[in-house]
Amino acid sequence: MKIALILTLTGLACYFGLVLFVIPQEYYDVQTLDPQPSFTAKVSSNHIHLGDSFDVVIDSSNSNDAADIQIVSISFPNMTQTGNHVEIVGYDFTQSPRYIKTGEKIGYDYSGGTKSVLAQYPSIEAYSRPVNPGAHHSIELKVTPDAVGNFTVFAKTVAIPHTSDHSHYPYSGVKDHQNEYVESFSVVVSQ
Amino acid sequence: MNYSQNDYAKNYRTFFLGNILVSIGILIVTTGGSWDISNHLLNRPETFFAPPHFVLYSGVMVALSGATLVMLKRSVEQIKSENRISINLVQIGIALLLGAGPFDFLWHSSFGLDGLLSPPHLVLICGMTFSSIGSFLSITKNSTLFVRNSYLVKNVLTVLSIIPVWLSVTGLFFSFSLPFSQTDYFDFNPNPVFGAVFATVTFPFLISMMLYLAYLVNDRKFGFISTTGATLIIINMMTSIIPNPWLHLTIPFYLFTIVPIVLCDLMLKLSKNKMCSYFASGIFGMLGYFIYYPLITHIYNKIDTNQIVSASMTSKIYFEMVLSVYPLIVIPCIVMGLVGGWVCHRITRSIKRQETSSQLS
Repeated sequence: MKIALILTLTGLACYFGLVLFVIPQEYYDVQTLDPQPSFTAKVSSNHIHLGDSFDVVIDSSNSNDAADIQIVSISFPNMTQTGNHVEIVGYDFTQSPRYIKTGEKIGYDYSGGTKSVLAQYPSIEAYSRPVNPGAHHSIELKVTPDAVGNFTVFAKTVAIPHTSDHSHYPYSGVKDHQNEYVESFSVVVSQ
Repeated sequence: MNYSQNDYAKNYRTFFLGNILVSIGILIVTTGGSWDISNHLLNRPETFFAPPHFVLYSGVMVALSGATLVMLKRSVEQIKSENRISINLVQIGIALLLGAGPFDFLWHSSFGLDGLLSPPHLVLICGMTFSSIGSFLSITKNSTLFVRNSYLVKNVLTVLSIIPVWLSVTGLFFSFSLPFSQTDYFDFNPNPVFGAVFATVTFPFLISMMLYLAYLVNDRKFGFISTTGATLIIINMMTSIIPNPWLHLTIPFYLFTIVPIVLCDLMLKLSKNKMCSYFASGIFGMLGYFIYYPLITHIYNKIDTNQIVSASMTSKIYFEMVLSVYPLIVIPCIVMGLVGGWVCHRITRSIKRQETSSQLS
């Protein structure tokens, strides 16, 4: 009886030894996914009159590894609110779009929300989950600027897990209010 | 009304069957609920008409049919007097479950994607908890009338009556500890520190209590702790691990959690010594971090590494935290395991006392 008890206790000690010190190491060494998202953007016109609209089409894709989540963000630094000025006319992402208002708490520096900042201007986030390599998703917007001058549109895509500098696109250039790289497009709006 | 001996037996059988159906129904509801959490994490369904919701509400229908049988037999004076508390619990629980369905649908329609902790979900979980506890009490109290020596049937009844309680209360505890309750309209997320402390205190208590309950209501016989623990682990694996393909590699690790449960069961068979009982309770408490994998990752991550726990990163973050989180929680886990065992002793003693008095009468 005593021997059986000792064996049982030894078994328990072995269990905790394995799950605390041996097994975690084995699983921790499993390679992390390295998705590489990108996009192509088309702006229908670079010069319009006030009251007219232009179209923005963003076609996103992913390569290398699958992404748990891929986000495409299109923001409008000249606006304080999108209101009726921005309309989604085409959308094939798997999740509904999110409309980010000025002053809303948003993720910062590719942290996915673990670090946050307040939005300085409105944006629209399109996202899918999961996104396999080779998958394409696109969003088409109809934008009607509300003032004359240079109207700017920022676009970027970020994949989660964000494991390297290739987990977002673009990799360099202009940074937005989230301290993340964006591609910038300008449309001249005249009277 | 005068009942013959035969009528009494028939009434008790129907009442007993009703409680079993309630338990089966809640088991389906809780399994669907657990699958629903995984589905929300992986696919973010944006409609009420998702497959886990279908499983969940078909469980409600099974529980409702069981509750109807229980209600039909509550007019029998002897059944009513001996099972007053359990009948009331089933009644309240089923009423809450029935109310939760339309409430949840309205909530989804008004606010879209909802979080884990929302008013309709809380109503649903409370309904599950009340009805499962009610049917557990009735099954435990009356099982000796129908099941005498069949080890297999006793095992099935133990699993059927305890697992729904275990899963329902787990759902309740997760609601107050997981950071899944922030939506565009409401932020019901618990404070991260509160969530972690709450999980550290409640889960070990619950594990120890449920496993000990399986042992004590079956006269301290071997096998019941193992069957109950293994069933919970298999259900959790099917609803929380299998739906996420990135976690499939960790299935052997998760199934390995059955080993300490079986070893404790074996130890309690080999020695009825009080020290062994305390020791087993403490070990049960220590298993919280492992039994509640992978969801527990989201709770401790908030105060430890604070990374994004996406589908493919869950196991990596979980194993990364083992050595930083586990040493901090192990002592409270052991203490709460002991408390769970002690509370369980008190509860079973009171159930047994009532059982003996009703048998004598």
